[in-house]
Amino acid sequence: MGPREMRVVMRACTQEEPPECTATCPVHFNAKGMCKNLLEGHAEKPLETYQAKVLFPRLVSAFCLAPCEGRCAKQRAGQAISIRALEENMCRQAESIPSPAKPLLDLPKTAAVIGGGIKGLACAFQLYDKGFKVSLYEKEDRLGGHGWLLDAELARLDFALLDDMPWKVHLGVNLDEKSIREEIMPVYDGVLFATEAAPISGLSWDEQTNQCTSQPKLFWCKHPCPSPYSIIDAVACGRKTATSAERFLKSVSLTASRQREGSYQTTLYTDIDETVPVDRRVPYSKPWPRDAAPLPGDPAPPKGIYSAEDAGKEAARCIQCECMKCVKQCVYMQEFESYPRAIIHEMATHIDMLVGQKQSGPLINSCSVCGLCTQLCPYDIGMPQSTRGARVHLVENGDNVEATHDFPMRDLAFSNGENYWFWSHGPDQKASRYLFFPGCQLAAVLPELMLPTYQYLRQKLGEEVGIGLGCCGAPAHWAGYDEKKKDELGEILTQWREMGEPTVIAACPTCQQQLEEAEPTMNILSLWQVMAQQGLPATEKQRPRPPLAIQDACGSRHQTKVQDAVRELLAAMGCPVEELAYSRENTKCCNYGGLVAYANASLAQEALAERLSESDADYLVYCGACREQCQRGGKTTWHLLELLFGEKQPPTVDISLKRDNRIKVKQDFYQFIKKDAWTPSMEKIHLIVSEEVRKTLDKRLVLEEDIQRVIEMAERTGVRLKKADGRRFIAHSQLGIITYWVEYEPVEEGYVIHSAYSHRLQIVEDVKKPTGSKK
Amino acid sequence: MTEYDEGKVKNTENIVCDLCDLPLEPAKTVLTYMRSTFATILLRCPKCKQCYFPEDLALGQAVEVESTLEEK
Ligand code: SF4
Ligand SMILES: [Zn+2]
Repeated sequence: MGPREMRVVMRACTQEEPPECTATCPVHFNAKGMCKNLLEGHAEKPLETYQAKVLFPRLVSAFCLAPCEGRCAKQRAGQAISIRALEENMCRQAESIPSPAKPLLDLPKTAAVIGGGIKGLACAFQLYDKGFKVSLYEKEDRLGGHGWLLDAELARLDFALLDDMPWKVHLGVNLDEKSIREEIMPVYDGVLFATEAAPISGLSWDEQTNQCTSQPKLFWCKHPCPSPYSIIDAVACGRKTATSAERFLKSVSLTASRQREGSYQTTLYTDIDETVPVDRRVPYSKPWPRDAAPLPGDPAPPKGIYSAEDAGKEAARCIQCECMKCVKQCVYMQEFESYPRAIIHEMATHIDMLVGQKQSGPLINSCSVCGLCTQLCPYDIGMPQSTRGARVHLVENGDNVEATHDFPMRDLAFSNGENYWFWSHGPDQKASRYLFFPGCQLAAVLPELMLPTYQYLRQKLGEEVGIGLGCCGAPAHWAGYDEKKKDELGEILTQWREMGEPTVIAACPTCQQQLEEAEPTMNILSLWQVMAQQGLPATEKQRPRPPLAIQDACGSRHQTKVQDAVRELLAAMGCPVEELAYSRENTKCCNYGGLVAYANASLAQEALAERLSESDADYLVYCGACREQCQRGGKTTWHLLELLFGEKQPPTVDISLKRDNRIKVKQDFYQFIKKDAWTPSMEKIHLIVSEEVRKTLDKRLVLEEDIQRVIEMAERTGVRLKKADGRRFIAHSQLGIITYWVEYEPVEEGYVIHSAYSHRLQIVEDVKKPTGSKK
Repeated sequence: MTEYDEGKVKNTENIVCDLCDLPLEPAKTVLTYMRSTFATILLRCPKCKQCYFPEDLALGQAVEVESTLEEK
């Protein structure tokens, strides 16, 4: 997936969408931001934006009908935030309210505004702000119209700033049609009417833009004032007309990107946090009687609404609407302190330019591609498409960092090379109706249980059960090597076809997923479904156990039948289970997925630790990788096969043992089916490795096999360094793209390994290794 | 890899090239990674050029250099 497709996905993430209050407000005041600021004790910031949006802060805050509150998300769990009251409070408590900023531009074009009420003033303010020269005509002898009817004192305060505006104001001028046509229209570049009556006869008018289509330089705030009077709608109406006039004066499209003018429905999804106090801080104080404009002599609107402290408490009830639904459950996104829209944007930019953006490599490679985000997202978008897509894109263009996934890719080559790859019908069989496919990880972790499982299947399903040992190519899938994945799957499909297209019994949910995708016609069952149907093995001993918490594999997220089968088997065994809060389709990844452990080991560990802390119970898994990861994370973990066939838990594996185990599995099957021993072609020199060094090697991803190669080469060619003690040697070799170093000591039984390490930098000038052997 | 600049790299451990039986000496050595080529001082056999990339260098500064180049 290239940057373009990524941006399409990106736009579907609604995290950056405005909350209900802002979207509903006709002038889009950000009440969420106000609440945050008030809570932090900063009233200045929101006051400034409030003035800039509503223009007449005292009047609007006292008389706004507050459509925002009607849609406030908080209502889904309690009462709406008292947004209007908080605004009013903010205005009343301010010593002064900042005047609008000076315009940044000074444009030569002129505009006349006819009508100096709220709408007309809104027109004038906006055009002035954009840099145009404004003249105002008002038939009364003061500006402000309806504002004075609401509250004379507030109007006096709000309109005071009009004195400072550099507008040409003509008061007491009642323009008739003739004077408009003759004295106004020829003089100004644009004319805006903020009058209820038609300014001139025979005007056609466009509702979307407020432009008079028959006279393109005329604009008209024609919408009648709603009843009850809504001051904010008047401001919004004036602004809308001014926006059209401004675009007209600048000769740009009047209609482009205006879908979100005025109130609209946001797409932002918000979970309701039930813990935030439900009820309003102080009883709601109504704005001025909503059904009619006040008459002179009516009581003044309520004053002094909140104490500063109470305002803070009311503001604290705001849940700060945002989605973050996926982020809350994903350590990867939390680690990068971001959300899909921003992450995908950054990745796409990185790919486009392949520069700077220090974090992008880790950003692209640290997602486990587990799909929980997509599962949780109300709009079904998520990261895997983009993180994996970005990896594929980088590989295709040769821009990927090969070393990041070198280890798992070599491991894939190992599994599908002579040491593990093995396909055969059952002993003395010429055909297979079924094919057992254990996958690479399970065999590497629980080698002893592969043959018993196979024998169980033969016992239940008959002799015609074949075996297929190999890797499904998932590492290539995760690393973004799609060509390689296709090749590996192709090999598997060839073998499967040659064996007569038997029904595949997969032990690993990820293998199942990969195979299903590669060959939709393949009949494929999960081992667990088969076992749930065929019944427990005779060897299974029912023993009382404490409950186990099920760690569903991320590969089985959409395999409901597999999840069910696992639970059926556990029930049949009489094993009590505990369901984790995030299980089945909402399961969380063990972080083997996506190869995170190779790209970002610390993150993988952190995510795993979080998953493991979800329950004190031992974990039950049904995926080889989950089994290894959870145990590495320090959790006592049982693979379902261990409960069914196992005697005692095998030792914790390390990277080298996982290879030996696969060889062992191949040998077991070879022996059982061909009744003959199989030996790997690479001769092994004997290494003596202490437990401590073994752990270090595991962490550094240095295999015993790598060490053997380095030593073999050094001993054969004599190219090695000698330490001062004369007993220890240091040798190195570049194997593929990584250079390995080993410090070793030859002893009678073999070689004691003192240390080994690797680096990605390549040494250009180096000793030419003599071919052949030492003197 | 500044620490390994001239003068600072010394054969304090008395490491010897076993092939040539000569002690290693600091020498400018060319390295390459992610389409970049640069030189640094490493201990090296004066005769056959067999070099030594010590563990602390590989696990420390080299990792930093590698990730910088990977991000380019
Ligand atoms: S796929 Fe998993 S790891 Fe990746 S962003 Fe989504 S939830 Fe997080
Ligand atoms: Zn030498």
